[in-house]
Amino acid sequence: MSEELSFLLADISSYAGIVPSLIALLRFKHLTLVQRHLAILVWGGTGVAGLAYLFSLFNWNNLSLLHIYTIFNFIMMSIVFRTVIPRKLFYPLLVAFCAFALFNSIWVDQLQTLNVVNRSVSAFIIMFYALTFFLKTLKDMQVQRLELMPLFWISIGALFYNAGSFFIFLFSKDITPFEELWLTYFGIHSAFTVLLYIFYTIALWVRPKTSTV
Amino acid sequence: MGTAENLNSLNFQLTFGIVGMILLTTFIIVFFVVYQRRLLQQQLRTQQVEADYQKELLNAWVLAQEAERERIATELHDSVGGLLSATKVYVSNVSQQLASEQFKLFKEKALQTLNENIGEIRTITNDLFPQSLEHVGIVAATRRLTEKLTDLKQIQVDFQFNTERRFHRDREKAIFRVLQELINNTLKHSEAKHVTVDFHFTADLLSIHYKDDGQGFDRQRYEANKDRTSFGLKNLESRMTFLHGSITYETAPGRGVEVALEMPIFNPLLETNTHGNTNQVSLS
Repeated sequence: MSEELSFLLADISSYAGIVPSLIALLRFKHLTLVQRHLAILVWGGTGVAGLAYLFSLFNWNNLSLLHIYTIFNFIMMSIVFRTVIPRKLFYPLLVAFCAFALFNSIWVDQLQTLNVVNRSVSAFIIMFYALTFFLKTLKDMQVQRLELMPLFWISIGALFYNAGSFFIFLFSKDITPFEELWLTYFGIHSAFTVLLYIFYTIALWVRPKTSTV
Repeated sequence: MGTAENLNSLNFQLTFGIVGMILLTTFIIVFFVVYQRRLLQQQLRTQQVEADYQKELLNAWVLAQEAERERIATELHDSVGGLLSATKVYVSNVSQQLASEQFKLFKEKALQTLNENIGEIRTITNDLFPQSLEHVGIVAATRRLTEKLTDLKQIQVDFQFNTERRFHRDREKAIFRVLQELINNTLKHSEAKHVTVDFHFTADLLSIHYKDDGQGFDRQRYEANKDRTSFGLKNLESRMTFLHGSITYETAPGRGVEVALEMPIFNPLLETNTHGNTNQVSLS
């Protein structure tokens, strides 16, 4: 992947949150609970992307924002998937991950470096959430039209993004020294981010008939 | 050199990992969507079959009601109507001018037809709602009903029960109607010599086993002609559905009919409206 394409994808991914953020803002009154939680996540993500861009303008290290965003993203995704996560697991997972991520960010990783472990663990758990949603939907058989279900689109987006990015997170420290390789996977990650926001946009756009999920 | 190898290896691992994960994700999502759609279609088909079955039961119920009305009308017309007409003739012929012998004859004839009328009405009302069911319960009422088999066709009846229990009158009536239908079928069609009726009460269930050694019927033929000929049996099924019970039967040409009925004694929807007789009573 060329350097130009990588940066172009990175630029697009920085702005990818704007469309769903605007949709969420305009339709907030009509959104279901799950969609409102997603809206908060999207606004947070777009805000962090904006801040990261500002930091880069002043040549400040913006990786510390990633540490905060990882925890925020995990909390919001847990809340979004709350209806499908077994009750016994919800709070223990949430508390355990937050404690683990904070400990890792403060004492193990440095705030100015990539939070490889946190992002990998977070991606793994979110994939588990999405798969749990699929399993529960198959088991309950209550949904007549999947395409009108926000959680369906969120799950697809989350599964694609986290599955695609999982190995990039895992190997990110190893690929950092190789600039060309880093740019390639940086571009691929940006493409997955754009894809994720496309699915978030659909999830915010659909109007479920009765269900809150 | 080592660095280039590392680079290639890293690139390979990452490409392989990402492509693998994306393929796996795609497969999971496609599988989920296809499987969900199939399950949904299956569920809809099952619902449709259930709805059709309910419609059939309702149809059978309506047809049975119509047949029952027709039977009552025929009985009233043929027996009570005829007897009342005869009584009218006798009474209209009675006058002061008649010789005492003739007067006495017409009076006796009129009284005789009136008595026959009373008997016929008693039979019909007893068929409509047997007083014995209200007073003595399902087991005793059924035993009285089976006496018809011996009286009319000399069918030997083996009647067994473990106890008698009273339950909601609507449920007692419904199960009685089922037994009435079975006994009538035996009387009309079976040419049986022997009938067995066995009542078995447990704490929550009533099981009834009914068997005759008559000519039975071809079940496959019955299934094939289900819509046209078998509303009697369908009616039994609809009554058992009302009772939240089950009905199973075994039959073959020349091998009689064996019917097993099972129903819960209590129905939470009806319990608040019972006539308070859920106690156990013994048969005298």
